Amino acid sequence: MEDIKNWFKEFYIHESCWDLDISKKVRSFLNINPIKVSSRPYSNISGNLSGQEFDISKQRLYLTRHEGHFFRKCPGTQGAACCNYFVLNLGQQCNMNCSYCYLQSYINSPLTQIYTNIDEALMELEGISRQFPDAPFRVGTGEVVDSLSLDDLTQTSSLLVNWFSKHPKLTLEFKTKSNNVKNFVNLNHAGNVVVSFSINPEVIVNSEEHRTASLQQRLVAARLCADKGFPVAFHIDPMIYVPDWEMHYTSLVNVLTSMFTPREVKWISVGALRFIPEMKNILRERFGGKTSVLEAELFKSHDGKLRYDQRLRNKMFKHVVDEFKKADLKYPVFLCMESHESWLGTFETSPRKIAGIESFFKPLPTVST
Amino acid sequence: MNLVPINIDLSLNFFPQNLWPMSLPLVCGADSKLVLGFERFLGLDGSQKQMALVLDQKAHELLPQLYDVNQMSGFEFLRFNKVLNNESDSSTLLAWPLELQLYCDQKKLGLKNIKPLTYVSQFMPQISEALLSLTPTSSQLREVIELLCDLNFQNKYTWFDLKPKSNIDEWLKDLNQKRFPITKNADTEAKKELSQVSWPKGVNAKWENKGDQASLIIQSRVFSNIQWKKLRDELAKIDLSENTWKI
Repeated sequence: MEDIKNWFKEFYIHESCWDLDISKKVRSFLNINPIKVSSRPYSNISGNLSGQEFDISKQRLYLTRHEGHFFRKCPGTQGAACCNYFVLNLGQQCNMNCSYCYLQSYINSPLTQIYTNIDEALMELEGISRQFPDAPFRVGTGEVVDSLSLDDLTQTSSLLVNWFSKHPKLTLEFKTKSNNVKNFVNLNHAGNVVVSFSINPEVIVNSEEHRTASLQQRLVAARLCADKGFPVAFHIDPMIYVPDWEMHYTSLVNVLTSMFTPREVKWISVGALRFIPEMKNILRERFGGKTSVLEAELFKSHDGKLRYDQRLRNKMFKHVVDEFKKADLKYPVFLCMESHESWLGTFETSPRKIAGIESFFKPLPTVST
Repeated sequence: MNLVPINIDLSLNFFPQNLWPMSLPLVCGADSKLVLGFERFLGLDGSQKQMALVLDQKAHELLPQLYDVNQMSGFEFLRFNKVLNNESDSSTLLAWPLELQLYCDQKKLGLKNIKPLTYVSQFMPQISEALLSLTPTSSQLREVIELLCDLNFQNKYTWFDLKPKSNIDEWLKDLNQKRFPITKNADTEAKKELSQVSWPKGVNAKWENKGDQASLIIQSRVFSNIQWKKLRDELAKIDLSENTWKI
């Protein structure tokens, strides 16, 4: 991973946020002088970013307030079994560079944004936990930004761990491809902060997940979290079909199951490569022939995204699930954003009937966001 | 607005798809450049002098008001921006022969559909010739361009491997086989399995791919309960191998 101190080439702070603690913290951390602005820089650039604009956006930091709701339901995907996940967006864009990253088709702002009004985000969560005191919402901060890769700048993780320790009914998920757990791992917690790691075989990490922590580094960080009593989770997502994929994924599961017992692992989600067709052009522009993602045999799926043929997906999912079963039947494995055909093909049943994960799929109250 | 004879400056001709519906071309007064009616710049006698309507504006102010970029096809949009000297990274795409550009415009290919051509420019003359001679439909054209781009990124094919051997349908079949070998081979196997089954009389069984789903479709017309029971019993005797749905 890059040293985040020297990562950003441009640094902007909205004038309304200049004197906030978080801005002072970031200013003192980075080796670059910030520019005070009264509106979003590069406001002339909007809509879909070119590959070059997307690359540059990763190294332009903008601290600003977030307007609107922070907390919202994960949109999931049409026709997929919904696991009732909620997201808390505390920024946008990622300093890492995975070839398959969906942000390439999602982000339309040429900057990495970090929101400074996290206090308002927590007030919003407070309101929801009062309104639904018994609802076991699972909330993740890693949807449009990695939960932990920029944590040295903001130190948000410690703030969130402290807040969630007072709200034990809720579950927070930090989702990351970094190994940056040092800012919170020694804190007291209520056991409701799940530290999850997106993982893939080392061969895929090396070829597709640029500027991320190595597989080994992620697993070591996960082990440290588990040792400190944090529940851990893993996302084997996206699975990518590469030569000898069975061997690579078998060895990934073997390493994981040798390091973590089922009791330590809160969930393991499995998904396969998918993205909207519009993302192909930016992928070509940014990675060209250097990614196996462009070679993948993908077809338009029921929700318009490109996916592997259903038969291949079933085979890939079943392989991973069976490997976990071989180690221990109690590993809580589920499929992410997948059709009912995939559930049937992999588990021969629907998610609400699988012990260990059935609770994720039970309907929760509707939150107006 | 005046009506004047004029030596027309055609430098703004970006070969628009929508023809100017009026009988006279339109020229801007400030820099005497033709902004509408490129297709009828010649008079009946073949001379380049004719009457034109003149608007008192500069061409670069006028042109964007006259042409709706949202309605433009991909190449048309790039040519339009080029004559306006707007910043865009279009040089690689605009190097493709104008004849092919116009064909793509005619088939309403947008910018995202033509962008893959950026990555196959080493085969520019061959691809242009093939596409113009095979006259694919709009959807076939999009598909061929996508497939050629994807296959070229694999760095294992020459033009000899990729070129069309006969008509457009065969070409697409060949490119799809190269692009999706695992899936297509599984489909071939499934079809082979199904062809060896003795289906009951009147039953039409076929293997179908729809997007990411491949399935067996069984169709039959049933006119009575007796016929239904007979069909059900006959179908029950068919033992399809699990390999049919495997990949």
